[in-house]
Amino acid sequence: MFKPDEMVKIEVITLNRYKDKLLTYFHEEGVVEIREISVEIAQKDVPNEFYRKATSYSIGISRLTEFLKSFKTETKGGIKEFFFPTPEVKKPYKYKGIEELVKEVESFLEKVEPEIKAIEQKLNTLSTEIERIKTNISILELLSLLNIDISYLRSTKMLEIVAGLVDREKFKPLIDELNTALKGRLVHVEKEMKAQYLVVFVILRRDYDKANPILAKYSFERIEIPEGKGTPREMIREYRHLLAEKERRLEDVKREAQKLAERYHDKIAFYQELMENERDKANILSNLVRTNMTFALSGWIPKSEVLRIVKGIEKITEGKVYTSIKNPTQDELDDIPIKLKNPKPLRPFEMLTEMFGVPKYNEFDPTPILAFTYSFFFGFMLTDAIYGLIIGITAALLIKGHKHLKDGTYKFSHILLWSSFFTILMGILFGSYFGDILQRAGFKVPMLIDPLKDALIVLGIALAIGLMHLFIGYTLGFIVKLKNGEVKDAILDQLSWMLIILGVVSFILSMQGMMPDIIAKGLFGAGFVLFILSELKNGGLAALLIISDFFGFIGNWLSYARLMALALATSGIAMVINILVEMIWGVKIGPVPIGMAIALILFAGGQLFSTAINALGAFVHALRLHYVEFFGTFYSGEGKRFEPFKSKRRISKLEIEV
Amino acid sequence: MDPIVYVALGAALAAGIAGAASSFGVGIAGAAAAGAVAEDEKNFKNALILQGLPMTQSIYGLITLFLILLVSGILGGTFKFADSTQENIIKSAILLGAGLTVGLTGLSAIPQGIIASAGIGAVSKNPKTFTQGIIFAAMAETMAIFGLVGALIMIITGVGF
Repeated sequence: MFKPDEMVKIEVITLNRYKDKLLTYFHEEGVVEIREISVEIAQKDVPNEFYRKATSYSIGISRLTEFLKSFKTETKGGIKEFFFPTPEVKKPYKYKGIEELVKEVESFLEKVEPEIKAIEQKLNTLSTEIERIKTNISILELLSLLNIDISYLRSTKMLEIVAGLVDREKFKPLIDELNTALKGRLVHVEKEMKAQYLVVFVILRRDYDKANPILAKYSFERIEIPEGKGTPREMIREYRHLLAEKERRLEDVKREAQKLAERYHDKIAFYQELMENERDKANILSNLVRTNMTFALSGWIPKSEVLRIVKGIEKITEGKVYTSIKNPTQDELDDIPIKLKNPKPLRPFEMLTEMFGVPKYNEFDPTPILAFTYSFFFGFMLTDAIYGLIIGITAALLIKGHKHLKDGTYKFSHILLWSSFFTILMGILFGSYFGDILQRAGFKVPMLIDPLKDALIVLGIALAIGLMHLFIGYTLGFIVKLKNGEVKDAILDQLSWMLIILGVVSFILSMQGMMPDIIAKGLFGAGFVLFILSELKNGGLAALLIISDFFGFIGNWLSYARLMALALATSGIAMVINILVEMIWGVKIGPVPIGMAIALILFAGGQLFSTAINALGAFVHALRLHYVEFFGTFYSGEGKRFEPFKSKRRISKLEIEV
Repeated sequence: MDPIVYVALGAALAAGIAGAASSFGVGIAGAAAAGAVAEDEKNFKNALILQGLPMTQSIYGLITLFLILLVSGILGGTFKFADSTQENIIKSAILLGAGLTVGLTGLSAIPQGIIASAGIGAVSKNPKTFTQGIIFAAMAETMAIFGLVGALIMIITGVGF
């Protein structure tokens, strides 16, 4: 807690023949971040034949999986799946080595790939045919305007027959130009349509070369005459028959594909995951170096895992290994990957810290403080006992349903659950249950403050909280900087503001007559002098920023007023809904109390909407107060995140055989 | 002017300007959201939440409208400031000021919509930028919140229930 997890550097040298298994071991454990080694005398490792094959198979298989997936009968989505997603079954695979695995995949693909490809081919051909028939039908529908036998529209030895469409305004000039160019050796039939003319020209074959450019010039849209005999209407009937038959065939093939998907999809997806993980391993090889007989890798590992992992390495390499564990030196400080370490209840909040950026290795991990203040701010801004209850129940259900996944939703629900606790608490303090519905119904609700009547008090509380929050931030920064030996920065950048804040607080106390105002003046003055000095240390020009920086602080502080505004917005929206409900409640049409039904619907819908929109606002603005105002006082978030070399297993599970 | 004019104008401007600005903002973001959904339907949920952000200004406007109607007694049925005494004129003018504050700061919904639409574009390329996109959009809302703080103080301490 408060500090990132301790990291040590691990270096391993062993024989090449253990490389595959050792890498797989690291990959499955997922606790080592492998870094690139730059050693002059040894050469970089490169993927061998099998790794290259695994990489190419992972791409090929993903195509097959995607094809089969589109034919798999999906488990139904919906609200139940959202709360309680069905857990994936992890199928075990006994890992003997990449060679065996690639060979197994190869033989599987040899059998299955042709089958799938054949179906895919059939599907494609059928869809192309169906498309063609549909085009033909639409052409025939067009030609049915002429009502002549289609065979007349086919060119003969002597005659060229051209059918097509031309724009209305281009029709006349086209005919004229063709007539002059061909000296009248031209017959045409036309049919007027909306914006176009359907025209059939009959010309001599030897004139065709002359006519062609003119047709192109008027953007004459030529129609391909479909094959067959008879009038368009008769042919359409035939084509429709053909279409129906082909579509039936298509359905048959699709059913075949579904069967195929049922039989092979899970297996192929399983192999895909295995291959993708092998590809991962192939990619990391360039970070390793090797000689003819040996290879070396180096990386970072959390100190707590060292014993277990070293034991594992010894076992895999049968003791033929050199392992070195080193504590990080001062030079490596910026290189150390950061893994946050907090007690279990606080761990979900690491997500929020990580989103902004992790601390440097010698900095402070703000997660524990953020966990408390974030949930509290969320609660303050939502401030309604029932809204809190709704969110709490939703979050609890999500946690229960996503327990086996440990995914983002699971962590996020934990954050919501904590926040809902504070929401309920604040709701009770402010006497807000669905806004003021109880008061409107005539009940007396115990409350500490009525936010709508005592808005100024709520504003005061919000600003006091803000001042405290900022003070905590500056104090943390002060301590961290002192610890890291940056005494001057600590005094100028952090202590100055701490004194100013203390000055403001004691000034307010002295106004109440609780202490003499000389203390307030002294504290504020000392802080302000330090602040001016800190501005001057950056050179004369930077001193121009004094005013803007000082008011920047004021702005940060006033920004906490949003705590009050959003709290009041919640009770405001709830009140608006309640007023509307009250108005409609008594409406009756004859003896039917229609108003009551509408009011109930409006109440439920409105309050749910209000919960959602206010929770969104509380979530966003609580986060903003931390990222912009709080972190601005002390936190850089410039650390490097710990990215272990780790396998991604959704449906597979690897068992390494030693 | 009669007090009723101030009060009516205050209520109308608060909900009216803020509401119009919100619809501009939601519109801008909505156009981007439609594009993102066309790219990949999975973007729907994220895009919808981002699109909804510029809506809050209209809610602030609505709250202000109701508060103005409430403290002036219009909602209760009897208009408290019917006589044109000086005190009534002052109080109703404060209500106009409060309404105008929320209405004008509500204009921040338009830039918020622009930010949200950029956020939607970013989310459709990389879903991990979702929260960051929300934070960026929320920055623009700060001004509307300040406006609401100011208006609440004006209404509750300047006029009171």
